[in-house]
Amino acid sequence: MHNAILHEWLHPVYLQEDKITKLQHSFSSAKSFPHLVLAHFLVEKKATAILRAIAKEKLVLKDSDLFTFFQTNDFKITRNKVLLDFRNFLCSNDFSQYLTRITACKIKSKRIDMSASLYLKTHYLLPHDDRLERRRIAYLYYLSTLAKKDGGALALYDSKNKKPTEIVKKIVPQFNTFAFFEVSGCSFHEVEEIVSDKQRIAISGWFHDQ
Amino acid sequence: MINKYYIQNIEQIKDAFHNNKEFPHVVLVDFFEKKDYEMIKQEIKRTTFSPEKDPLTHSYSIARTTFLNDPFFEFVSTIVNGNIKPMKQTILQFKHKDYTILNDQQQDKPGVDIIFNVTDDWQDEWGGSHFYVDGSGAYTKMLTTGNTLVMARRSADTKRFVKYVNCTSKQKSRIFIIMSTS
Repeated sequence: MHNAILHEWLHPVYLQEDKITKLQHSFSSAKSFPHLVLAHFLVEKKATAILRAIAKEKLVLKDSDLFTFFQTNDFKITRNKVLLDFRNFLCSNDFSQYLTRITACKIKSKRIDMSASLYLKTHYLLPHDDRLERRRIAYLYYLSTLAKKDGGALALYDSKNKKPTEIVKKIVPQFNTFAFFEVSGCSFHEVEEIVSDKQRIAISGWFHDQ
Repeated sequence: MINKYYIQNIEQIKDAFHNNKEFPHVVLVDFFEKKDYEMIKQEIKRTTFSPEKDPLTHSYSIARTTFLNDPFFEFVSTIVNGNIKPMKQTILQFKHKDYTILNDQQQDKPGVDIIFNVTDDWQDEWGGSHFYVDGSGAYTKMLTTGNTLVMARRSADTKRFVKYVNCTSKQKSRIFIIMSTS
Protein backbone atom coordinates (compact mmCIF):
# COMPACT_ATOMS: atom_id res chain seq x y z
CA MET A 1 0.00 0.00 0.00
CA HIS A 2 3.03 2.32 -0.12
CA ASN A 3 2.34 3.71 -3.52
CA ALA A 4 4.03 6.74 -4.98
CA ILE A 5 0.95 8.94 -5.17
CA LEU A 6 0.06 8.31 -1.52
CA HIS A 7 3.62 9.19 -0.48
CA GLU A 8 3.50 12.32 -2.57
CA TRP A 9 0.29 13.63 -0.93
CA LEU A 10 -0.36 12.08 2.49
CA HIS A 11 1.39 12.89 5.73
CA PRO A 12 3.77 9.93 6.27
CA VAL A 13 2.10 8.91 9.53
CA TYR A 14 -0.99 7.82 7.63
CA LEU A 15 1.00 5.28 5.64
CA GLN A 16 2.24 3.33 8.65
CA GLU A 17 0.62 -0.08 8.91
CA ASP A 18 -0.09 0.12 12.63
CA LYS A 19 -1.66 3.54 12.13
CA ILE A 20 -3.92 2.21 9.37
CA THR A 21 -5.06 -0.59 11.68
CA LYS A 22 -5.93 1.97 14.38
CA LEU A 23 -7.81 4.09 11.83
CA GLN A 24 -9.88 1.08 10.76
CA HIS A 25 -10.91 0.51 14.35
CA SER A 26 -11.56 4.20 15.06
CA PHE A 27 -13.76 4.52 11.97
CA SER A 28 -15.90 1.45 12.59
CA SER A 29 -16.34 2.11 16.31
CA ALA A 30 -17.09 5.85 16.05
CA LYS A 31 -20.39 6.99 17.57
CA SER A 32 -23.04 7.62 16.50
CA PHE A 33 -22.12 6.56 12.97
CA PRO A 34 -18.77 5.60 11.37
CA HIS A 35 -16.55 8.62 10.85
CA LEU A 36 -12.95 9.71 11.20
CA VAL A 37 -10.98 12.95 11.49
CA LEU A 38 -7.41 13.00 10.17
CA ALA A 39 -5.38 16.01 11.33
CA HIS A 40 -2.31 17.11 9.30
CA PHE A 41 -3.75 15.09 6.44
CA LEU A 42 -1.61 16.22 3.51
CA VAL A 43 2.02 17.16 3.38
CA GLU A 44 2.04 20.83 4.39
CA LYS A 45 3.09 22.39 1.08
CA LYS A 46 0.21 20.66 -0.75
CA ALA A 47 -2.32 22.05 1.73
CA THR A 48 -0.94 25.57 1.37
CA ALA A 49 -0.97 25.35 -2.43
CA ILE A 50 -4.61 24.16 -2.42
CA LEU A 51 -5.68 27.04 -0.20
CA ARG A 52 -3.96 29.51 -2.53
CA ALA A 53 -5.59 27.90 -5.56
CA ILE A 54 -9.09 28.11 -4.09
CA ALA A 55 -8.75 31.85 -3.67
CA LYS A 56 -8.77 32.09 -7.50
CA GLU A 57 -11.99 30.09 -7.96
CA LYS A 58 -15.32 31.78 -8.61
CA LEU A 59 -17.82 31.43 -5.77
CA VAL A 60 -21.61 31.48 -6.09
CA LEU A 61 -24.02 32.11 -3.21
CA LYS A 62 -26.11 29.02 -2.47
CA ASP A 63 -29.24 29.93 -0.55
CA SER A 64 -32.27 27.75 0.24
CA ASP A 65 -34.41 26.54 3.12
CA LEU A 66 -31.55 24.22 4.14
CA PHE A 67 -28.45 26.37 3.76
CA THR A 68 -26.66 29.62 3.01
CA PHE A 69 -23.01 29.60 1.88
CA PHE A 70 -20.74 30.27 -1.09
CA GLN A 71 -19.63 27.40 -3.32
CA THR A 72 -17.45 26.82 -6.37
CA ASN A 73 -18.31 24.66 -9.37
CA ASP A 74 -17.31 21.02 -9.20
CA PHE A 75 -13.55 20.76 -9.63
CA LYS A 76 -13.98 18.40 -12.58
CA ILE A 77 -14.40 21.52 -14.72
CA THR A 78 -11.78 23.71 -13.05
CA ARG A 79 -8.78 24.89 -15.05
CA ASN A 80 -6.69 25.19 -11.92
CA LYS A 81 -3.95 22.56 -12.08
CA VAL A 82 -3.43 22.42 -8.30
CA LEU A 83 -7.12 21.67 -7.69
CA LEU A 84 -7.28 19.19 -10.57
CA ASP A 85 -4.23 17.40 -9.17
CA PHE A 86 -5.87 17.20 -5.73
CA ARG A 87 -9.03 15.84 -7.33
CA ASN A 88 -7.01 13.30 -9.30
CA PHE A 89 -5.31 12.22 -6.09
CA LEU A 90 -8.56 11.73 -4.15
CA CYS A 91 -10.15 9.77 -6.97
CA SER A 92 -7.04 7.75 -7.81
CA ASN A 93 -7.10 3.95 -7.58
CA ASP A 94 -4.53 4.08 -4.81
CA PHE A 95 -6.43 6.51 -2.59
CA SER A 96 -9.74 4.74 -3.26
CA GLN A 97 -8.17 1.47 -2.12
CA TYR A 98 -6.65 3.21 0.90
CA LEU A 99 -10.01 4.64 1.91
CA THR A 100 -11.78 1.34 1.26
CA ARG A 101 -9.27 -0.38 3.49
CA ILE A 102 -9.95 2.03 6.37
CA THR A 103 -13.71 2.16 6.00
CA ALA A 104 -14.58 -1.26 4.56
CA CYS A 105 -16.87 0.73 2.26
CA LYS A 106 -16.40 -0.17 -1.38
CA ILE A 107 -15.89 3.01 -3.34
CA LYS A 108 -15.16 3.36 -6.99
CA SER A 109 -12.15 5.36 -8.15
CA LYS A 110 -12.85 8.27 -10.51
CA ARG A 111 -16.38 8.65 -9.05
CA ILE A 112 -16.23 11.67 -6.82
CA ASP A 113 -18.00 15.00 -6.27
CA MET A 114 -15.75 17.83 -5.21
CA SER A 115 -16.19 21.56 -4.70
CA ALA A 116 -15.02 24.22 -2.30
CA SER A 117 -17.23 26.21 0.02
CA LEU A 118 -16.85 29.43 1.93
CA TYR A 119 -18.99 30.13 4.98
CA LEU A 120 -19.09 33.68 6.33
CA LYS A 121 -20.85 35.04 9.42
CA THR A 122 -24.52 33.79 9.55
CA HIS A 123 -23.89 30.97 7.01
CA TYR A 124 -25.01 27.44 7.94
CA LEU A 125 -26.19 24.05 6.72
CA LEU A 126 -29.17 22.57 8.60
CA PRO A 127 -29.53 18.88 9.58
CA HIS A 128 -29.75 16.28 6.81
CA ASP A 129 -28.34 12.80 6.10
CA ASP A 130 -26.62 13.33 2.69
CA ARG A 131 -28.30 10.25 1.27
CA LEU A 132 -28.53 10.26 -2.48
CA GLU A 133 -28.02 7.46 -4.94
CA ARG A 134 -24.39 6.29 -5.18
CA ARG A 135 -23.02 8.46 -2.35
CA ARG A 136 -21.00 6.15 -0.10
CA ILE A 137 -18.62 8.36 1.88
CA ALA A 138 -18.98 12.08 2.54
CA TYR A 139 -15.78 14.04 3.12
CA LEU A 140 -14.61 17.49 4.16
CA TYR A 141 -11.10 18.83 3.83
CA TYR A 142 -10.70 21.93 6.00
CA LEU A 143 -8.54 24.80 4.85
CA SER A 144 -9.14 27.24 7.68
CA THR A 145 -8.96 26.97 11.46
CA LEU A 146 -11.86 27.98 13.68
CA ALA A 147 -12.38 27.98 17.42
CA LYS A 148 -15.45 26.45 19.03
CA LYS A 149 -16.84 29.93 19.74
CA ASP A 150 -16.74 30.85 16.01
CA GLY A 151 -19.36 28.23 15.05
CA GLY A 152 -18.90 26.36 11.77
CA ALA A 153 -18.41 22.97 13.42
CA LEU A 154 -19.61 19.81 11.75
CA ALA A 155 -22.16 18.51 14.27
CA LEU A 156 -23.03 14.81 14.22
CA TYR A 157 -26.39 13.62 15.52
CA ASP A 158 -27.33 10.50 17.37
CA SER A 159 -30.46 8.87 15.93
CA LYS A 160 -33.35 6.68 16.88
CA ASN A 161 -35.67 4.95 14.43
CA LYS A 162 -33.84 6.67 11.56
CA LYS A 163 -34.52 10.12 13.00
CA PRO A 164 -31.95 12.52 14.47
CA THR A 165 -32.23 13.04 18.20
CA GLU A 166 -29.36 15.10 19.65
CA ILE A 167 -25.91 16.35 18.71
CA VAL A 168 -23.29 13.99 20.13
CA LYS A 169 -20.09 15.27 18.51
CA LYS A 170 -18.77 18.50 17.06
CA ILE A 171 -15.81 18.59 14.70
CA VAL A 172 -14.30 22.07 14.74
CA PRO A 173 -12.52 22.92 11.44
CA GLN A 174 -8.73 22.86 11.60
CA PHE A 175 -6.46 23.67 8.65
CA ASN A 176 -5.32 20.57 6.71
CA THR A 177 -7.76 18.21 8.43
CA PHE A 178 -9.69 15.58 6.50
CA ALA A 179 -12.98 14.39 8.00
CA PHE A 180 -15.18 11.73 6.46
CA PHE A 181 -18.17 9.57 7.33
CA GLU A 182 -20.20 6.74 5.90
CA VAL A 183 -23.41 7.95 4.28
CA SER A 184 -26.38 6.01 5.62
CA GLY A 185 -29.92 6.38 6.86
CA CYS A 186 -28.58 7.61 10.18
CA SER A 187 -25.68 9.88 9.11
CA PHE A 188 -27.49 13.02 10.29
CA HIS A 189 -25.26 16.07 10.51
CA GLU A 190 -25.22 19.84 10.13
CA VAL A 191 -22.76 22.69 9.81
CA GLU A 192 -23.37 25.08 12.66
CA GLU A 193 -23.85 28.75 11.86
CA ILE A 194 -20.72 30.88 11.75
CA VAL A 195 -21.22 33.44 14.51
CA SER A 196 -17.94 35.37 14.24
CA ASP A 197 -16.12 37.17 11.45
CA LYS A 198 -13.92 34.14 10.78
CA GLN A 199 -14.11 32.32 7.44
CA ARG A 200 -14.77 28.61 7.11
CA ILE A 201 -13.07 27.35 3.96
CA ALA A 202 -13.36 23.70 3.00
CA ILE A 203 -13.38 21.29 0.10
CA SER A 204 -16.13 18.73 0.33
CA GLY A 205 -18.03 16.11 -1.60
CA TRP A 206 -18.72 12.42 -1.79
CA PHE A 207 -17.01 9.23 -2.87
CA HIS A 208 -19.40 7.06 -4.86
CA ASP A 209 -19.80 3.32 -4.80
CA GLN A 210 -20.59 2.88 -8.50
CA MET B 1 -61.02 46.37 13.62
CA ILE B 2 -59.72 45.89 10.09
CA ASN B 3 -58.26 49.00 8.44
CA LYS B 4 -61.20 50.88 6.91
CA TYR B 5 -59.35 51.31 3.63
CA TYR B 6 -59.37 47.56 3.12
CA ILE B 7 -63.05 47.25 4.01
CA GLN B 8 -63.92 49.99 1.52
CA ASN B 9 -61.77 48.48 -1.21
CA ILE B 10 -62.48 44.82 -0.66
CA GLU B 11 -63.43 44.17 -4.31
CA GLN B 12 -60.09 45.51 -5.58
CA ILE B 13 -58.23 43.33 -3.08
CA LYS B 14 -60.24 40.33 -4.19
CA ASP B 15 -59.34 41.09 -7.82
CA ALA B 16 -55.66 41.48 -6.92
CA PHE B 17 -55.70 38.08 -5.21
CA HIS B 18 -57.35 36.27 -8.10
CA ASN B 19 -55.47 38.11 -10.84
CA ASN B 20 -52.26 36.61 -9.50
CA LYS B 21 -52.89 33.54 -11.69
CA GLU B 22 -49.71 31.57 -11.07
CA PHE B 23 -49.71 32.10 -7.31
CA PRO B 24 -52.88 33.77 -6.01
CA HIS B 25 -51.85 35.83 -3.02
CA VAL B 26 -52.15 39.28 -1.54
CA VAL B 27 -50.15 41.16 1.10
CA LEU B 28 -51.96 43.81 3.15
CA VAL B 29 -49.84 46.16 5.27
CA ASP B 30 -51.29 48.11 8.25
CA PHE B 31 -54.03 45.51 8.28
CA PHE B 32 -55.65 46.27 11.64
CA GLU B 33 -56.35 49.71 13.03
CA LYS B 34 -53.45 50.73 15.26
CA LYS B 35 -55.36 50.31 18.55
CA ASP B 36 -56.45 46.77 17.66
CA TYR B 37 -52.97 45.79 16.50
CA GLU B 38 -51.57 46.98 19.84
CA MET B 39 -54.17 44.85 21.66
CA ILE B 40 -53.11 41.76 19.69
CA LYS B 41 -49.48 42.44 20.59
CA GLN B 42 -50.41 42.74 24.25
CA GLU B 43 -52.28 39.43 24.09
CA ILE B 44 -49.23 37.80 22.54
CA LYS B 45 -46.99 39.16 25.30
CA ARG B 46 -49.19 37.26 27.78
CA THR B 47 -49.02 34.05 25.75
CA THR B 48 -46.94 31.08 26.87
CA PHE B 49 -45.09 29.36 24.05
CA SER B 50 -43.83 25.78 24.02
CA PRO B 51 -40.61 24.95 22.14
CA GLU B 52 -40.94 22.29 19.45
CA LYS B 53 -38.16 20.73 17.40
CA ASP B 54 -37.70 18.00 14.84
CA PRO B 55 -34.21 18.70 13.42
CA LEU B 56 -35.18 17.55 9.92
CA THR B 57 -38.26 19.72 9.61
CA HIS B 58 -38.55 22.56 12.10
CA SER B 59 -37.54 24.39 15.23
CA TYR B 60 -39.81 27.03 16.77
CA SER B 61 -42.06 27.76 19.71
CA ILE B 62 -45.81 27.34 19.42
CA ALA B 63 -49.03 28.45 21.09
CA ARG B 64 -52.73 28.33 20.20
CA THR B 65 -55.13 31.25 20.26
CA THR B 66 -58.50 32.55 19.11
CA PHE B 67 -57.56 36.28 18.83
CA LEU B 68 -59.01 36.66 15.36
CA ASN B 69 -62.77 36.91 15.33
CA ASP B 70 -65.74 36.44 13.00
CA PRO B 71 -65.40 39.73 11.04
CA PHE B 72 -61.80 38.78 10.25
CA PHE B 73 -62.88 35.43 8.80
CA GLU B 74 -65.71 37.05 6.86
CA PHE B 75 -63.21 39.44 5.30
CA VAL B 76 -60.81 36.63 4.39
CA SER B 77 -63.65 34.50 2.99
CA THR B 78 -64.68 37.33 0.69
CA ILE B 79 -61.15 37.83 -0.62
CA VAL B 80 -60.41 34.18 -1.39
CA ASN B 81 -63.96 33.40 -2.59
CA GLY B 82 -64.45 30.64 -0.07
CA ASN B 83 -66.20 29.89 3.14
CA ILE B 84 -63.46 30.17 5.72
CA LYS B 85 -65.00 29.41 9.07
CA PRO B 86 -63.55 30.77 12.30
CA MET B 87 -60.87 28.36 13.48
CA LYS B 88 -58.19 28.02 16.12
CA GLN B 89 -55.08 29.94 15.25
CA THR B 90 -51.49 28.85 15.69
CA ILE B 91 -48.92 31.36 16.90
CA LEU B 92 -45.35 30.55 15.88
CA GLN B 93 -42.37 32.25 17.44
CA PHE B 94 -38.99 32.12 15.65
CA LYS B 95 -35.83 33.19 17.44
CA HIS B 96 -32.12 32.60 16.82
CA LYS B 97 -31.53 29.04 15.43
CA ASP B 98 -35.19 28.46 14.55
CA TYR B 99 -36.31 27.42 11.04
CA THR B 100 -38.57 25.24 8.97
CA ILE B 101 -37.27 22.99 6.18
CA LEU B 102 -39.07 21.77 3.07
CA ASN B 103 -39.16 18.01 2.97
CA ASP B 104 -40.41 15.26 0.70
CA GLN B 105 -42.96 14.08 3.25
CA GLN B 106 -44.56 17.54 3.41
CA GLN B 107 -47.68 17.15 1.28
CA ASP B 108 -50.09 19.87 2.29
CA LYS B 109 -53.37 19.61 0.46
CA PRO B 110 -54.25 22.62 -1.72
CA GLY B 111 -55.87 25.35 0.34
CA VAL B 112 -55.42 28.86 1.68
CA ASP B 113 -52.75 30.11 4.10
CA ILE B 114 -53.57 33.12 6.25
CA ILE B 115 -50.52 34.58 7.96
CA PHE B 116 -50.55 37.64 10.17
CA ASN B 117 -47.19 39.15 11.16
CA VAL B 118 -46.97 40.48 14.69
CA THR B 119 -43.35 41.62 14.84
CA ASP B 120 -42.28 45.23 14.38
CA ASP B 121 -38.81 46.35 13.33
CA TRP B 122 -37.71 42.95 12.05
CA GLN B 123 -34.74 43.14 9.67
CA ASP B 124 -34.70 40.89 6.58
CA GLU B 125 -31.02 40.06 7.05
CA TRP B 126 -31.81 38.35 10.37
CA GLY B 127 -33.55 35.55 8.43
CA GLY B 128 -37.00 34.39 9.54
CA SER B 129 -38.69 35.38 6.27
CA HIS B 130 -41.57 33.35 4.92
CA PHE B 131 -40.93 31.87 1.46
CA TYR B 132 -43.27 30.09 -0.92
CA VAL B 133 -41.78 27.68 -3.45
CA ASP B 134 -43.63 26.33 -6.47
CA GLY B 135 -42.95 23.10 -8.37
CA SER B 136 -40.44 24.82 -10.68
CA GLY B 137 -38.30 26.01 -7.75
CA ALA B 138 -39.34 29.68 -8.07
CA TYR B 139 -39.43 31.47 -4.71
CA THR B 140 -41.79 34.17 -3.46
CA LYS B 141 -40.58 36.00 -0.37
CA MET B 142 -43.24 37.55 1.84
CA LEU B 143 -43.00 40.93 3.51
CA THR B 144 -41.75 40.85 7.09
CA THR B 145 -43.28 44.03 8.54
CA GLY B 146 -45.57 43.95 11.57
CA ASN B 147 -49.36 44.30 11.22
CA THR B 148 -49.20 42.71 7.76
CA LEU B 149 -51.64 40.05 6.57
CA VAL B 150 -50.69 37.55 3.88
CA MET B 151 -53.32 35.44 2.15
CA ALA B 152 -52.01 32.84 -0.26
CA ARG B 153 -53.63 29.99 -2.16
CA ARG B 154 -51.51 26.83 -2.14
CA SER B 155 -51.63 24.52 -5.14
CA ALA B 156 -50.55 20.89 -4.88
CA ASP B 157 -46.99 21.99 -5.79
CA THR B 158 -46.73 24.97 -3.43
CA LYS B 159 -44.68 24.59 -0.28
CA ARG B 160 -43.57 27.14 2.25
CA PHE B 161 -40.70 27.53 4.66
CA VAL B 162 -39.32 30.01 7.17
CA LYS B 163 -35.66 30.84 6.68
CA TYR B 164 -33.22 30.08 9.52
CA VAL B 165 -32.99 32.95 12.02
CA ASN B 166 -29.32 33.85 12.30
CA CYS B 167 -27.13 35.22 15.08
CA THR B 168 -27.51 38.86 14.02
CA SER B 169 -31.11 38.74 15.31
CA LYS B 170 -29.60 38.56 18.81
CA GLN B 171 -32.42 38.27 21.41
CA LYS B 172 -35.22 39.29 19.05
CA SER B 173 -37.96 36.91 17.97
CA ARG B 174 -40.40 36.94 15.09
CA ILE B 175 -44.04 35.99 15.59
CA PHE B 176 -46.76 34.95 13.12
CA ILE B 177 -50.35 33.97 13.65
CA ILE B 178 -51.01 31.31 11.05
CA MET B 179 -53.99 29.37 9.79
CA SER B 180 -54.26 26.98 6.87
CA THR B 181 -57.33 25.58 5.21
CA SER B 182 -57.40 22.55 2.95
